[in-house]
Amino acid sequence: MGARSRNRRVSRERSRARAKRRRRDGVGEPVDLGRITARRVGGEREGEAGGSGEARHRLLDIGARAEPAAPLQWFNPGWLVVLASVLLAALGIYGVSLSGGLDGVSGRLPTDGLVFKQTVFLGLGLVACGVAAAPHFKLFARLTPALVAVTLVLLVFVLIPFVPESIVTPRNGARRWISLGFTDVQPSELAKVVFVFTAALYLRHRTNHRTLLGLTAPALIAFVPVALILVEPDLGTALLFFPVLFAMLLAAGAKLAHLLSTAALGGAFAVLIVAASLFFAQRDDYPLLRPHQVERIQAVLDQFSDEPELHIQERGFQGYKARTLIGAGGRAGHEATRSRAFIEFSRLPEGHNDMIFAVIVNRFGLLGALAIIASYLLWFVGAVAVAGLCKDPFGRLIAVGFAALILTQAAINIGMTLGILPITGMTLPFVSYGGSSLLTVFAMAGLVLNVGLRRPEKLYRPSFEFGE
Amino acid sequence: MQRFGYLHSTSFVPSMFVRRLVLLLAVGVAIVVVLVLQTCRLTIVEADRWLEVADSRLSTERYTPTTRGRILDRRGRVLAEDRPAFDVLVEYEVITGQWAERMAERSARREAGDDWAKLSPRERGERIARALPAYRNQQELLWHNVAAVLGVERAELEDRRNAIKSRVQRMANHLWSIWLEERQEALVGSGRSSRAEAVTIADVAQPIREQRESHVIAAGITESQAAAIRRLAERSPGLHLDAGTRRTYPLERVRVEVDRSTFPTALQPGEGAIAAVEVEVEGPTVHVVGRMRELNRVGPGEALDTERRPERDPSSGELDLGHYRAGDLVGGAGIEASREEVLRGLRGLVQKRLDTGEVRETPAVDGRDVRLTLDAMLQARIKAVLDPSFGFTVKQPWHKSTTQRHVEAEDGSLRLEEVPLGTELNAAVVVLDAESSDILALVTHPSYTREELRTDAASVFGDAVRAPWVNRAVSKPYAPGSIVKPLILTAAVSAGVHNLNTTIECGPYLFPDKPGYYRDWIYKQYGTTFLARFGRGLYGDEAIGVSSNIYFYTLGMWMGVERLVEWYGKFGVGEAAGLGVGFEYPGSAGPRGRRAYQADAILMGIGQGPIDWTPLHAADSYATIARSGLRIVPRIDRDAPIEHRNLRLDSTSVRVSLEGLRYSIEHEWGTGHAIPFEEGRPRELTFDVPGVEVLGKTGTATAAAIVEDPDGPEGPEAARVLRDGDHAWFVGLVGPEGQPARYVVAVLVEYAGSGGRVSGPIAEQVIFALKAEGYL
Repeated sequence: MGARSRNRRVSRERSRARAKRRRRDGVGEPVDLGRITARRVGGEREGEAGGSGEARHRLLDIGARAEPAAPLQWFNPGWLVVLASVLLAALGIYGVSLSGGLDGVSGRLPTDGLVFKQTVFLGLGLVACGVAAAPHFKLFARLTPALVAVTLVLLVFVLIPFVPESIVTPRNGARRWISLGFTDVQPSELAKVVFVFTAALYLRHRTNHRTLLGLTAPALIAFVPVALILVEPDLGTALLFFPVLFAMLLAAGAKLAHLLSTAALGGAFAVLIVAASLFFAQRDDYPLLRPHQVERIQAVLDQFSDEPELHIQERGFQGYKARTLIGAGGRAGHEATRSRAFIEFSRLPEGHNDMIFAVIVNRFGLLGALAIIASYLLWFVGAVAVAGLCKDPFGRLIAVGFAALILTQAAINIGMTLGILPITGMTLPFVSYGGSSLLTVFAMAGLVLNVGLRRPEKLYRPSFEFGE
Repeated sequence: MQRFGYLHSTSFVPSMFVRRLVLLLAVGVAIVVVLVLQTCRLTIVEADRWLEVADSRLSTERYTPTTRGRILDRRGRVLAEDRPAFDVLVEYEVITGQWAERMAERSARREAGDDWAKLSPRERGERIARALPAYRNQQELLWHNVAAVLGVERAELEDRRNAIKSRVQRMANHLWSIWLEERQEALVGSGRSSRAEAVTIADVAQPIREQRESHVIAAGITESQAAAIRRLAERSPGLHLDAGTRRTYPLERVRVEVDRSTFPTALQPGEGAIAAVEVEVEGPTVHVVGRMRELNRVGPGEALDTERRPERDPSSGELDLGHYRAGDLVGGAGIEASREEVLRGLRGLVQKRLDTGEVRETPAVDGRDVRLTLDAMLQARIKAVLDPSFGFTVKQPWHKSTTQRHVEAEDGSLRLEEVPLGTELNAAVVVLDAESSDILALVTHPSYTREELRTDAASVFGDAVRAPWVNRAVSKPYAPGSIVKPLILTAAVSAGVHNLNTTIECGPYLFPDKPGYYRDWIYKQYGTTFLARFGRGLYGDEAIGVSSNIYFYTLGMWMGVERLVEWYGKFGVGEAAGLGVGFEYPGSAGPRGRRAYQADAILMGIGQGPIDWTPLHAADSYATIARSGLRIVPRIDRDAPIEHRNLRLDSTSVRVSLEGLRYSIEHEWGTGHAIPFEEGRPRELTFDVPGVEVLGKTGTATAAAIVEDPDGPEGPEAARVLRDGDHAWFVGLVGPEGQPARYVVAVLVEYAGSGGRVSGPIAEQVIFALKAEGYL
């Protein structure tokens, strides 16, 4: 008893000392047995103070030459991620076909063209996956500033009012897409990936995110794209950044107390806004949220009231149709023709993208739903496992970031289709129809695989260990 | 291992990063669990409901119309049927004018395109207001055109529009207040009474069906108008032409030829006038056949039609093809109402599967006809004779009636005065088949037409004396008076209270030591007694024939109230026949709410005191006697079940009673024998129809007055007598000479005086009507 507690005390003291040193020095860093010269070992480093000077210096050093070419870990959890991605994408293609219903019996547009396009994009996506997995992920770390610049330009471009509609087509009142003829490109998709890179880059060698004040910098990193996206307007995508940031901060070792309190504050703030909007909406006044946004929230609340179908004609009709298809799916769904008939005559809007979950669940029932949800869980677990196995801080963080991104987006989409969240314009990653989004998420999968493939054998000083 | 943590003696402590990852995993799993739970809720718990909703979208249903059954009389004449008719319908939206607003919103929305979502409600309102006038003009043009085609004034159309609007709004308010109550009850029941108070009409005010359907703006238009409307409808949204059916009532007005040569001389036309006259009879069968009413127009506390017979059974969910839909008419009175389930057909159903195109059709089932035992032409002929112009239902000098009413004197006080000559009298006639008690005629006078009811309901319901809406043959109580005497005789003998071989002495009063009480009428009128006339006591047949009161006071006294009530009950007093023609007064025998006195029994013996019934009861009981005690409950529906019971009357008493009835008509002392029309002129036989034999009884029944009491029983204002006097009865058995009786005829004239003088001649005319229709 005494020995164990004494040992614990000793190791605690040791790690505290270590931490003190690290804080004094700035950051923990990899120790390369091969090259001791320009690396910091413990204390002194001539000339430079801590912080950004070190970071820049190290960046220049990092490249493929920084380490001997380590053998790729072909057996790694990243493949689970790719597997889940392909499964979901395949299901998605079938779903797009289903969403066409009975091929135009009731006047719905046939989806054969979309199926073809999606298949092509699947192929392109796999290519993107390979491209993302090929170079060492540190390359992307190096490219991040350039990517940030491109993203910001695109985001601003989309918002410029003078741009003709042939290039930036407004849809449903939102200016989100740049049309390149055969497909649309959504800058906000790129922004999501670049954000993860940026946050990972910022956090990887730091400790000051352990303080409350230190959280402001990551928050600012998030606020810039969020603000630009909010103006489009795209509230859904904008909100997505916060869970991702939180997940990355959590993994990077920010104090739980800080994270929880900011999350609670943010949550309370959101609830306040929603409640105030609902209150004002009763007087037909919409000072905060837009009318259609308030209506969507009301539609969700309606569902849990005594008379869920009281206002179904005015609002919540889309959600109602989605829930009808889902519920009608039952345990194991229906055979193809019957399911297509249900879909055809349900007049479900956006059946091929936003609401594709409802379409697939109608066909395959609860089993189908579980398959989809399990696939996302597999993706998440795979990416987290990759993060756990990897020692490089940048790699760890991007794996966590993408895991959170995919799971959050999937959860929001499925939640809204199920009726427990307000309708947003968010698509289901891998499954929904959409060229740019498919490429982006496959790239994410590729990046996770990338991290998984490269597991340096070095004795890295463990990162994000703050001795808690 | 070192990657994930470190070993500390024998335990593995995961590194912080790994712990954080585990935390992330936990959060992820939690999110997944929530999603899975909700999915399970939808796909397992609520699966059936959602499947039903999804399935319902796969098929459309359309109902096909059906035809309501007809009402036919005994000889197959149609009394009520559906006939094709054209109606002009306008959608409710256009009637209220909201169509224009909706179209304006649609066009504003289309114009704004994707920006619509960004506009505030105020801005939206402005845009809609700008688009509105064009659509309003379109509506105006529609109304203008419709008015032109129909040939009605624009103002008239406006009135109809407003009538429809207010009717639908009334219906909506009614339904909404019901829904509000239900909602509040439900909330209170589930323990949320605070919320129940907060619920208002606005929360439950969903548009009702009538607000989404079309309504008739003009009914029964001509074919050429229909063609014009059809053309107009092609280019006017919201206007429809409905080729539907209308409930028509042939024989609502019947032309009947009346041969005045059969009238008593006093009522015959003057020299040179043609004997045969054609009369148009209005509404002879309206009380029996009834009429239709609008859907859901029910009295307070009554269930709505749509609730009584909803589209789906609330517990089993089974579809009822005969359910009520907006625009349906429901039987409102008479046979139309009581035989609603038989007459109403079942709609057909066409179900089309949208995915396979498969069509499943359930054909409509027409309603069944109702066949009455009534003879409509007989009914019309009898009604024709009752027309005041012929004099039978008008106060005549030979009636010698003492009918009075209150008249206001110059000083404002009320004075009782006799009604003047020529005052119209109300009457009822019932004709039964003596063998089956089938009702051949059920006439009430005065009557009304359905058109009068539609256009001037006050004239039908407002007059308390004429009261044409009352079916006097079955709905109103009348003191029977002397016509009960054959019943009393047979009852007393069958009860063992009287021996037919004994006589009863009929002096001036029942109790010689109590002069002034229970006087015989002949003493009152002529100062003599039957004892004096006959020189002895009376036998039963004689007593009936001369209608001696003393005889029957005596029998009543011997019977006692209890036995009298029992025997009256056996003859049908106290129960309604259940014909289904509306309210039927069941009849009442014996004191109510107080104990019985001997006086009651004495009076009940002559059909006065605590006893009243309807002309149908009278005919019914005489038919029972004619059948020697077999009572068959009278029927008017040929398909109604036959109910009969045997009274086990003493057969001799029946024979004696029938002889008494014969005596009454054939003997010179019989009260139904002859009528003195003028002083100094010889009396004329009441019944003088060649080849026809009549056995009958007259009755002059003291009656309770019709009183108008503005303040109620305790009020300071005295009750104003509207009518006071004696009811004039005649009930007879009629048949070919020498043969058993075939028909029972009961005639009642309200507050008219002497049965023999007033009702007797009418009964003779009934016999002529029976002859004219081939019954005799």
